[in-house]
Parts: sequence; structure tokens; C-alpha cells
Amino acid sequence: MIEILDQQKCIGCGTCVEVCTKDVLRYDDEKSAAYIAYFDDCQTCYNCEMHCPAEAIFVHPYHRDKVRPW
Amino acid sequence: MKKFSKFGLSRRTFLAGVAAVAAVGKGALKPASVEAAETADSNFKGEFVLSESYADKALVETDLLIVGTGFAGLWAGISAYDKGIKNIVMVDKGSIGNSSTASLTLGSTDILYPSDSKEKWLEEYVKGADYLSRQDMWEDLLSTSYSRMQKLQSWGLKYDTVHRLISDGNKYISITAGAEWNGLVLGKAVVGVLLNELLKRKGIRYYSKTLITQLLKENGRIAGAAGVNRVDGNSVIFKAKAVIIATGQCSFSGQHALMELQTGNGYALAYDAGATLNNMEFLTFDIDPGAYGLEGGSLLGAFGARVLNRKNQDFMWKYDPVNGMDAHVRLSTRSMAREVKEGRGPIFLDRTQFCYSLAGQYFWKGLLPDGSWQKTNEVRLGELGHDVTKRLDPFYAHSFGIIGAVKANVDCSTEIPGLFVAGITISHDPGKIKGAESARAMWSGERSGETASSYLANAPDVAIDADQARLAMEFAKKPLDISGDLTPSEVLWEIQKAVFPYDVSLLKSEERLKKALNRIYEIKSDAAERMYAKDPHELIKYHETMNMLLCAELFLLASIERKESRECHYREDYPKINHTEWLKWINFSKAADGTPHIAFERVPIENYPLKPNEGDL
Ligand SMILES: Cc1cc2nc3c(=O)[nH]c(=O)nc-3n(C[C@H](O)[C@H](O)[C@H](O)COP(=O)(O)OP(=O)(O)OC[C@H]3O[C@@H](n4cnc5c(N)ncnc54)[C@H](O)[C@@H]3O)c2cc1C
Ligand code: SF4
Ligand code: SF4
Repeated sequence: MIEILDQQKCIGCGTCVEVCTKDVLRYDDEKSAAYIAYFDDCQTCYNCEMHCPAEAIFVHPYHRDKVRPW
Repeated sequence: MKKFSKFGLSRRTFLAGVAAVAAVGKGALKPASVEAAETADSNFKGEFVLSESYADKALVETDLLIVGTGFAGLWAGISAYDKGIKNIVMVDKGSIGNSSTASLTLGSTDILYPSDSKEKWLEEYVKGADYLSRQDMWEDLLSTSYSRMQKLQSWGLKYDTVHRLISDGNKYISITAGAEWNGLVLGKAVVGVLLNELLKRKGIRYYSKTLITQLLKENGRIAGAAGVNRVDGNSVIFKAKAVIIATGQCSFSGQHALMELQTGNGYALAYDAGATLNNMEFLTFDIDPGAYGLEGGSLLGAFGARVLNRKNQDFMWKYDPVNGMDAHVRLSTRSMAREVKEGRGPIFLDRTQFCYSLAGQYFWKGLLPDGSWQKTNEVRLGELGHDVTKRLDPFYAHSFGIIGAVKANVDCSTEIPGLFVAGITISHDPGKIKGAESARAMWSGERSGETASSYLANAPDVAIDADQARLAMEFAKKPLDISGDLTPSEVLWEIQKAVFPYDVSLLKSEERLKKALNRIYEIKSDAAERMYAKDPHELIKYHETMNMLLCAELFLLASIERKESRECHYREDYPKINHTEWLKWINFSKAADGTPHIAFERVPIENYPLKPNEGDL
């Protein structure tokens, strides 16, 4: 799941907010930076990290707990 | 692998991207200056599309509305435009193209090369689906697949072609196992090419972050749709003479890697508008690790991986003495469930004997190129000390999605004039074969765009009644006013707990299915009374959860009805396939009282080239 969105590195382009597949990320107007708004919904797809021009995002490879078949 | 250099992205594309993000929701996002992006150590990739913004209760008029922008929706836009429809609106609940499941796709797409045998292909698919396939659709798909491949190549996509050995051991099938375009790989490369083509077709309007919540009709024909923005909560009416639904499938927002977008939205939209759903009993599964995402788990067996039970037994040979873990995924997932049922669970994956060099020659290079999420995942796991080649990871059979969907004609039209379906939203074939799903999405995307444009040539103008529009917008936003105590995530968890247990969905029995169905009815009534949405983000999840409740109900009803075993539908109380009685589709339509009406439709097998053996009928 998304672990870090470093607002110090963020250049405020909004790309991660646009491409997030689960609408996890939002834009903070005051800080001119993106932030993690709905952490629990992250599906560990790396889309935000792959598109970030400032390398401000780190996604951890483990995903959240799921309902198992057994 | 080529990466974008700092200035590799064209200014036009970047500006379009910046404008697109700027337009999403009022004040929700802010564009960066181009200078800022250029001075950053950039690996910025991709094509972005300018999204329109709208005020609450806006009315947008168009000829053709395309809902969903994965492979299917993007192809539909291009093909409709090229057939003369210039007034097109494309909508996505996420980003246009860039957040679709298609963009996260790995692996392969099936293509019929001129040197391939169409008959062998058809056989592979139709036998794989135990004869419930729409053979007319396969025929159309296969006949046109090479031309789509050529189009993609002429637009700049580089495809690696490999050959898949099919059942009789001959090389009849060509598939792609890797795609590249402008530094993007796999699904992202295909989506990038299609977006790039769309951007050349001027005048198309795009609305991102907008969930379509309802279709609107006038005198029985399609008149448009209502939607709501997930960032600012603004509602909108799209007036349209034709609508193509290309919204993916229903995995109950689980469990296989990156299938969480699959919430059955298109199924519910079409069903509520009066269309028919079928093949809803066929929920497919894949082999997945517990802790992290992995695509291609079912392919690992071909290269030396094994699933082991609690007693360390390499049990798959018992179920498939010829192929072991390289068995068809429906058998391996079912066998894992059997081991668990008989007390030998949990199940682990052992990759210690996995032959990377052999796998690399075939699928692996297609699954793990630099720049793909899967490669990043594997490298990062290694960096964290989680060496997947040495560890025994717990593995599960995870839901990939219901493979049934909206019943349609071979040209992707439905029984509702003006409504067309494409992608995984079109009911086509209950079989699960790697590469067939994206092939189906591209075929039906292209075909639905063409059919919609022919329809539009003579379609009458439509009007949307003001009351209908008001009610639709109220419906879209109503959950924001409910003061409940259940969040959509809590309700979804309960749905998953009812549907996902192996003894409900992999090893089915009437008793357990009925119990699960009763649980779904309880959840449904709880949700109706207590589920609420605290903000526009949750509002979208609210609607999706309601759609998944419908899908769960139909999945269980159909599973109870089908008293035989076929493809991934396995009934312990009816373990055999029964062609005499069950060469039928189970169709659902919404009855006047709102409940599902069930009808059975015989497969017109006499009109199809492939039939089960005489003795089986
Ligand atoms: C990890 C992974 C690997 C895969 N690998 C392969 C493979 O190797 N080969 C293969 O053939 N297939 C593969 N698949 C399946 C493949 O993803 C699908 O075949 C493909 O995405 C289908 O495309 P589509 O256009 O039908 O739907 P999608 O790509 O799901 O697009 C649907 C779009 O509709 C939007 N949407 C949904 N509901 C609404 C609504 N109500 N309003 C507005 N927008 C909406 C969604 O946001 C989404 O963008 C894989 C899938 C995954 C997850
Ligand atoms: S990893 Fe995917 S789902 Fe998670 S925040 Fe990033 S884009 Fe969104
Ligand atoms: S993509 Fe990166 S730089 Fe752009 S807003 Fe997101 S975190 Fe900030």
C-alpha cells in the first residue's frame, strides 16, 4: 500500500491524484501538494508512484488484508 | 527499457496533462508550472487527456456517450469517430484511460495471425468454456483480430509475439507477451497508444472522475445517463442518443491483484435499464499470494513452481497426473480448495525450483518488464528481504471476476435501442483463457463503436423529461443525506465474507449457496437502512457496493439454478457436466416488482460450428 507521499518533494502537479486507480489521493490547495486522503482504499497498483515526476511517492509491496477463501 | 528523459515528454502532452488535472473538480487539483516539472528529476510518462469540468446539475448533450475508458471504451471512441460520429463524450469514474484495469494489465492478448488456424483457435476457446460460448462472437473476433493488431502497430505499438501451445500440442495460437510504446509497457503501452490516437481526433469531450449512476430512456430507447463527480459531488445529466457501456466486470472488488475497480457497475446500469444479464454463475479464480499482488500465478506451474499442502505434499499430480500444477486454473484452484476441505490446508507456493531462464523465454519477460508494477513489486519484495524464490508463501484461490455480463447481439447491440456493450461488460464466453479477455475487450470496443455509428445514422432525437432528470440526479446524490452507521467498506466486507469462502464459490452446494444468498438478503436490507456516504468519495463506493449486492444475488441465484458442473461452476451435489439439460444460458432481467426474473435460453448449438460429442448430448 502507499506508504509515503513526501510533500517536501511534491511539486504539486496533481498527476498522482488524476491517475490513482482508487481515488486515494487528493490535492491540498494550501500546501500546493498532494496528500493521502483515503489510505484504506489503496490497491497497491503503483500507478501514482510510476507517474510522479518528482519521485515523491513510495508504495510498499504488501497490500491490505483481504477476505480469504479459507 | 527506454525511459522518458527529463524533457522527453512533449510540451503539448504535458500541458494537456496539467490542464486535465486542473479541470478535475473545483479547486480539487492544482496544475504545476511546466518549469517545476521540468526541473524535477522527471520520469513522467504517458498521455493525458483534457477533462471537462461541470457545475452541479449540469446538462451535457452529445450523440454518443461512452462509459468506461479501458481497452474497450478507448477502441469504441476511435472506431465510432472514424465511422463519422464526431460528437462523442467519454466518461470514466477514474482518469480517462490511465486508471483503468486495462492500463494495469500484464501479459498477453490473443491474436489470430494469417498463418494460424481459426478452427483450432475456436476449438480452444469453445471447449475451454464447455460449449457455452457465443461462437458467433468468437467468429467475428477472430476474423478481425489481425487487423486490430495491424492498426495498433501502425499507431506505433511494439508487440512481442510468442506462440502458445494449445491442447493438442501444436503451435496454432499466437499471442503477445509484451507491448511497448514510448517508454510505457504492457497495458499502459496499449492505453497510451489508444489515448494518443484519440487525442488526434478533435472534438471528443472527456469527463474524468465521474461515475455514471443510471441510464435514462425515452419511449423505450436510450436517451442518456446521469452521473456524479467523485471529487466535488456535482451531479450531471448526459443527454445522448446512444450509449456504450464499457465498464469492466464484477470481481466483488477483490481479491486478485488490481481487480478492485471491478464492481459490476455496467451490469447494474444495464439491468436497471431493462437489459438481460447471463452467465452470472461463472465466477473465475486465479492463484494468488496472500500478502502481495501477483499476476500469472496459474502460469508458474509450467516453469517448475509447485503448490504444497500443509503436509508438504505436491498434491496437484493427484488431480492432474499429466500436468500437475500446470493444470487449467479452474482445476488447480478447485483442487486447492479440496485440499483445504479435507484438512490439508493452508496451501503454500514453492518457487525454489522455478526455472527463470525458461520462463523468461516465454511468459515471464511479458509479465515482468522494467517499468511494470509487477517488476517493481518483485524487486521491492526482494529489497525488503522477502525473497519469493526462496520463501514458501501462503497462496490462495482469489476471485478474478464474474465472466458473465450483459447479453448482446454479435454486433454488441442490446435489446434496448441505443444501448451497446463492450469489453468485459459484454456476455461472450464463460471460459477463462489468458489473453482472451483483452482480445474480447478490443474486439467489442471496436465493433460497438461501429454499430453505434450505424445506429446513429438513423436515430431519432431524444429528449429527457425534467422530472426524470431531477430524480436521477437525486438518486445519484441521495446517499450523502442518509444518516446511517454502516460505511460502504463495512458492507463490502460482509458481501465478500458471504461470497468468497471456498465452499460457496469454488465447491458449491445447494445448501451452502442458499445460506449465502440469505446472508446477502440480510446484508441488502441492512445496507438499505443503514449504509451512508459521508463525502463524494464514499458516495461512489456506496453506489458500487449496491451494484455488487445485485451481482452477489444474481451470482448465487444462478449458481443454485445450474444443477450441473461446467467450466468454473462446480457443484459438489451435481459434479458432472450435463449437456442434455444444461446447454443453456441462465438469463436475468428485472421484473416489474424489482426482483430478478429468471429465464433459460438454449444455446443454438445446431447453428454453431462446434458441438459436444454425440454421446455427450
Ligand atoms: C493484473 C491484471 C492482469 C491482467 N492480465 C491480462 C492478460 O494478460 N491478458 C488479458 O487478456 N487480460 C488480462 N487482464 C484482464 C484485463 O484487465 C481486462 O481484459 C481488460 O482490462 C478489460 O478491459 P475493459 O475495457 O473491458 O475494462 P476496464 O479496463 O476495467 O475499464 C473499465 C473502465 O470503466 C470505468 N468505469 C467503471 N464503472 C464506471 C461507471 N459507472 N462510470 C464511469 N466509468 C466507469 C473504470 O474506471 C475503468 O476505467 C488482467 C487484469 C489484471 C487486473
Ligand atoms: S498505489 Fe494505486 S491505489 Fe494506491 S495510492 Fe497509488 S495509485 Fe492509488
Ligand atoms: S505526482 Fe508527485 S509531484 Fe505530482 S502531485 Fe503527486 S506527489 Fe506531487
